[in-house]
Amino acid sequence: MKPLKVILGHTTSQQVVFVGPFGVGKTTALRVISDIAVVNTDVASSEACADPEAQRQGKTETTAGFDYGEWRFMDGSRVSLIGVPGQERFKAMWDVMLPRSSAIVLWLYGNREGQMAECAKWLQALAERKAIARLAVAVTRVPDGEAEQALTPYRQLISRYHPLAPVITADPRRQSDVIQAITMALTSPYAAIEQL
Amino acid sequence: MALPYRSRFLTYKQWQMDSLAIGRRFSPFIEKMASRIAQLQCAMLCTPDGFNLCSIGLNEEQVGKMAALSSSLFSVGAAAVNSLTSESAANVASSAEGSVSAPLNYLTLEAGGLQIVSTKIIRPAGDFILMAAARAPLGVVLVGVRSTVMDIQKLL
Repeated sequence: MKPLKVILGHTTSQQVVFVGPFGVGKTTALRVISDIAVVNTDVASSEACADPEAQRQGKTETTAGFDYGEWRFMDGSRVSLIGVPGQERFKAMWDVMLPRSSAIVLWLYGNREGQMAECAKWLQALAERKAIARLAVAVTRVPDGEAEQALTPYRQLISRYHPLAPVITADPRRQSDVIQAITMALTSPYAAIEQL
Repeated sequence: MALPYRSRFLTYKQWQMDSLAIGRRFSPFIEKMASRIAQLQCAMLCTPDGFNLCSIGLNEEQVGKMAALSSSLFSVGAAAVNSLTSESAANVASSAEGSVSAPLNYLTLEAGGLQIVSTKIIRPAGDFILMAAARAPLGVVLVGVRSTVMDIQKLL
């Protein structure tokens, strides 16, 4: 019988977790960029049937466990990418995944009612889990040419939690945008502990 | 006192090196599982927060995701057990039998003849998760896992 291959030690150098509301594009972003076959824990979504925005986007599934992928930097080092479910009933997964992360990308809607309250809720959830020190915020669905104006209220709110967190517009379907978000999260300055 | 965040992040790369050293120390036990369980497909020793220490039968692409899955599955399983036992303990607090909240000892999965068994190895410096997957009867895999745990505990 062929001997089984032995691998010692962990194979990735950083771990980035994608968080954000249901349907914002966390799974899409992870699949766009992953170099390996993504762990798939998607199931048919009941609430997508009741969400007009989700229906419009053709969203039929939701993540019930977590998404896992990996991406390789130019220097060969590997980053593990984890996407957690956006719904509060899956908080157990947030508790498992957020404290172990080395950086967070918070994906947010830029085009729906209550978006700032939603942003505040996520920042609070991250702060409660001590996972806000290294953060980048990616705002999706911002109309062309309105980025700076649209991002101003986000920056004001986010600065209360992390004064130096980068806030960008991003399309989770576009590989370059996802790479930018990950890179900014990993290289963002740490928030001082007293801010948290 | 909690560590400053900077220390926590800087230790990620340090931990990568530590995981290599710890994995090397325990690899003989993991490799021995292949002789204990003839139909072993893979086995992994990882940390409860998803870092591989030593694995056999997996390739480079599988290791990271299996470490994340093994640790998370055990954590979610423990949370489910805790939720059930603590709630039932509250419900039967006055009962003579009284349910006792107990930690999760083993997590088993079965899919088309493939048995997956996970367990936690308690140690003062940080627990380990041991996972083994084999196309063998559940009892064989359980005995193989238990024997490996006993071997590892002798070294701790």
